[in-house]
Amino acid sequence: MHASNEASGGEPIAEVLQASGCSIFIAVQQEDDFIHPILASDRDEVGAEVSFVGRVRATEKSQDDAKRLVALDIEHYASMTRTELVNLCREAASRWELHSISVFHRFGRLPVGERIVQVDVTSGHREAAFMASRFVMDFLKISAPFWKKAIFEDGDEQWIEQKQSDRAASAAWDKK
Amino acid sequence: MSTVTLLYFAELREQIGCSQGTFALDDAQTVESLIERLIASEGASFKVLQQDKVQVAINSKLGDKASMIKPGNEVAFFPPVTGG
Repeated sequence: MHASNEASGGEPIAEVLQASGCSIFIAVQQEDDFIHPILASDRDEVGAEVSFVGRVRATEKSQDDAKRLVALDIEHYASMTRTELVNLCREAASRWELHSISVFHRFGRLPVGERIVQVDVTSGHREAAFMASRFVMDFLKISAPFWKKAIFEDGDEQWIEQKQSDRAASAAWDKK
Repeated sequence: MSTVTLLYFAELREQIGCSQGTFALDDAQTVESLIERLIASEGASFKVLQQDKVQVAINSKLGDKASMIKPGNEVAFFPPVTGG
């Protein structure tokens, strides 16, 4: 039996856990009010902090006529998003010596310029923080169940397709 | 009667016209066979699930068309992910 049902975008997620001595914070929500936590107990040992922010861009390269966006509609599959993000952060924490990883991702209608995703990594030294933040973003792109739809100025809507460059970026880690 | 819960996301949700449903299932089946039964009983709009690019997760874990589904499972269908 199938019932017609409009997608709400998904359910919010708030998860805090520890893995390999690293604190992991995961927040998936509609609101743009996330501030990544820096633990007071960590502060003396943190020598490096890397923040990556992904925002809604006004143009989408895959579009032939480069139409301008007004917003992205983002939906996700909450139970799988939780599992994938937790596994991804655990994997990063096992590969590098980190103090914390925080992954924030939004869903719903996000206007141009607003945050979509933010990854914050703290560690003793910069190499681990740079590497881990890139690792988390590269795999989030191809494994976390989020989907984006472009909403254009002229009212058209179009689902965004997964990019070959994103698949290549995650595949490259296997060789590192 | 035993059932499975079905979820559809993004473009597939729009093409099928709903985000979720239940389907009677008394014994273990492959994903491929479930899709064939869906098309037979629910209509041709479910043929979009046969596209190569369609991904499937069983109880939130990524599987494929040969994966086994048991009564009580949650089966999600979606296109390649585009988050971040």
